Amino acid sequence: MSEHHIVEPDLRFIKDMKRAGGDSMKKCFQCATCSVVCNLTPDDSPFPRKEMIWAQWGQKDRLLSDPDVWLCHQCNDCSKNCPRGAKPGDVLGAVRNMSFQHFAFPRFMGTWLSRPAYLPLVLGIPFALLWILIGMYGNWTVPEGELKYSNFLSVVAIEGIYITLLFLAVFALGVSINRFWKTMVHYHGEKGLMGAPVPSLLSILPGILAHRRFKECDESKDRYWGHLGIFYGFLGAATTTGIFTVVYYYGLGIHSPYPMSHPVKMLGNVSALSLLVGAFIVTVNRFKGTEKKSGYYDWSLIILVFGLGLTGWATQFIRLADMRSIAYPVYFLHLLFVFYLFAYLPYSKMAHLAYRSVGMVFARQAQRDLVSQEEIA
Amino acid sequence: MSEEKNLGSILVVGGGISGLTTAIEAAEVGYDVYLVEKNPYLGGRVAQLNKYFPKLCPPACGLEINFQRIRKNPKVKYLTMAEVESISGQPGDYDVTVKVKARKVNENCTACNACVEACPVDRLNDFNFDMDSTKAVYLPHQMAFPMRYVIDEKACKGSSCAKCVEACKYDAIDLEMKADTVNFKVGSVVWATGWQPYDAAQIDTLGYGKVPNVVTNMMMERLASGNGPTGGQIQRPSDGKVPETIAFVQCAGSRDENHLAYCSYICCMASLKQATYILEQNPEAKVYIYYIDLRTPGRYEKFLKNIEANPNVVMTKGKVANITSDPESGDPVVVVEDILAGGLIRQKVDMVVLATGMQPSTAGKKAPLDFKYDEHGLILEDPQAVGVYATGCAKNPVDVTSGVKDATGAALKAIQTMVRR
Repeated sequence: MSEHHIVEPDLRFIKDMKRAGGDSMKKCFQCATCSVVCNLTPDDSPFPRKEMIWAQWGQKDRLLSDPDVWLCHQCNDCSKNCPRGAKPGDVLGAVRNMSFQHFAFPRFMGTWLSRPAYLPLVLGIPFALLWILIGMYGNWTVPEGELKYSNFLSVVAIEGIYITLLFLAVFALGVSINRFWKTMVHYHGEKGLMGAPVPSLLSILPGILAHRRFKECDESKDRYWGHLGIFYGFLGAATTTGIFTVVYYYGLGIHSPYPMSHPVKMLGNVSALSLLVGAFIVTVNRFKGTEKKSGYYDWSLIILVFGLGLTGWATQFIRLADMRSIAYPVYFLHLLFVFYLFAYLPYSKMAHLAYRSVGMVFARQAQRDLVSQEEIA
Repeated sequence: MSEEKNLGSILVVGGGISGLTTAIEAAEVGYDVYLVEKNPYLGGRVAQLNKYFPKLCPPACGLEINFQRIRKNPKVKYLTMAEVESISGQPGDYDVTVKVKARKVNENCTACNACVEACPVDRLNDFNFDMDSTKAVYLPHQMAFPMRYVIDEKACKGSSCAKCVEACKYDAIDLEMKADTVNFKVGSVVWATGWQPYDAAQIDTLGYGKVPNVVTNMMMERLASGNGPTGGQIQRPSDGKVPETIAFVQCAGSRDENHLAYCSYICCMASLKQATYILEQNPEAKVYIYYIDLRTPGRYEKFLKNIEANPNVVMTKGKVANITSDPESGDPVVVVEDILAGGLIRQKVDMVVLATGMQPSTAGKKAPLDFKYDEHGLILEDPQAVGVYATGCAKNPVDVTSGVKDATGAALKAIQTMVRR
């Protein structure tokens, strides 16, 4: 044993972790019940026992470079069985929240989205931007004739800002994820670089689409349905928006509103329903207490999902019912929610779709996701 | 000790090692003692043990000495199958009501066993944790004090059968015997109702009651005891096989907020002691001990070192949090993370011993006294208390050595109550 490792606890990281949802971590006495009851952990260096001691000792680098944190799907079996109430599930959730902040590009955005104190700023910016945009390219008064939202704000103006936003967000997320990947490679290089990322991604994709890992949970089985609803709700909504924008608006030159019987329109409506049902299940689970303790990141996302689904539906309903007086304000709200979704994608809990996928790809390459090994065989 | 002088009386509730000690010590100073015991025998949990740690001597020896002291001392009046119903009054002057169940066997009993041979009804033997059975009329155990048979009211078919009455040459069996209520006055009370093994079936993950051959540490004491269900030959319950591999699961339900949040203090030493039972009978056996932390204070450390030095003992840091059946053999498989090596272990063994902790009897039924309890039902020590005292495992999980010392102290306090008046 000639090698020495000097432990340098990062005290600020410990404080940040506690604020990000890991406030129970100091109760852990390292019995490893959690590692045994976890249905998703590999046998070799299982999680989350080791993450618990890293968290207690402020081992920031180890935690943020740890792909295992992303193999965790928040079943909460560990927290339920924990003899000390140290809630490993909450602590791993806190590490994931910390990742959104730590790898964020630009960094200040990560900070803005991490604390409710910044909420007025986070909401104020899109509010002001949209307000100015409407002042320049829109009109708050509803003209005579059919109720059309394109009279409120022209489609081109909306596309202009939202497509730009989306590209910026994807770029920022790309930079953030690149930082995350590099950190994992730096600490686990020899393992992580086995195999190529793309085949690994393809090999984990069926598992993600089928939500196989959620099915392994004992304590919070209903998470499967909640996440499935929201996941496919977003996928459907994105597909709807994509087809209408690219194919119909710009391709065929057919402008909205589209008839209710249109298959893509129906997909949009079903997706909104799926989002709402999923969000409802998640909310119920949170109040039942089978979920991990929910913090700012978690509630922001669920409010966003409810907001998107409800205002999206309301917008359509108001148009069909010709409720002119509230039509534009509701649509404005909807635009605000979509702005939040796009602009803050890399820094909100939504970013987990990228972080988790990348973490799971890394874990697949390091052959740490043994559950999936069985899936392949 | 002058016979004519009445110094005062003390009530001791619980006839285990703590209560016995308090009762005998106080009686030998000259006080009259009422010792009230729920079971049909004295000796409590200690009577169920095979050996004491760390000296590995049989508890029957120490109990026998205590019973001798009781026999020689008329100042100890003991009531078995008895429970205190109420206590009222103040220090120096308490009225006590005790309910005594019908033993249905009187003092004529010579323990000749003729009744057992005649009895047609079986009952599970709770003294051996239901691992064997006795007849409805039975001797609680070989070394029982008082050495008198007892009839299990629930199992006995009563006067319609009465085969035992015919068989008894001494007129010792009285199937019509009724429960009795006894009243007396005492000057002070010592509560020594001890502990129950924590119910292992409550621990979902450890398979007790579901996975064959998962037993508790107290069951292991009975399996190793000469007067136990296997005559002292350690065999696993399912098929009587002598275990070649055995796993001890420490902190089974202990130090766990979902079960017993505290450490019971004795389970580490109990498992190390039981490792010697296994290795003495089968030196080739492999013993696995899984622990979070080991608690072997003071001279017990030496005991630990001796066990650790045995090449057939494997000590692993990590809590067993899952026990399943091997699909092929049905043998138990313990799952644990080896914390120091950093990997999950799935160890198949012939037999598993759950080191369950001690739960105070007062976690359920409370004493008819205004004691204060902690959240686990342990009686809180009140340094200001006068007249009523708690001792032993009703107060704190302790080993026999500490329990006996505390019980002696309790005898002194009970005496002080009366002397100070």
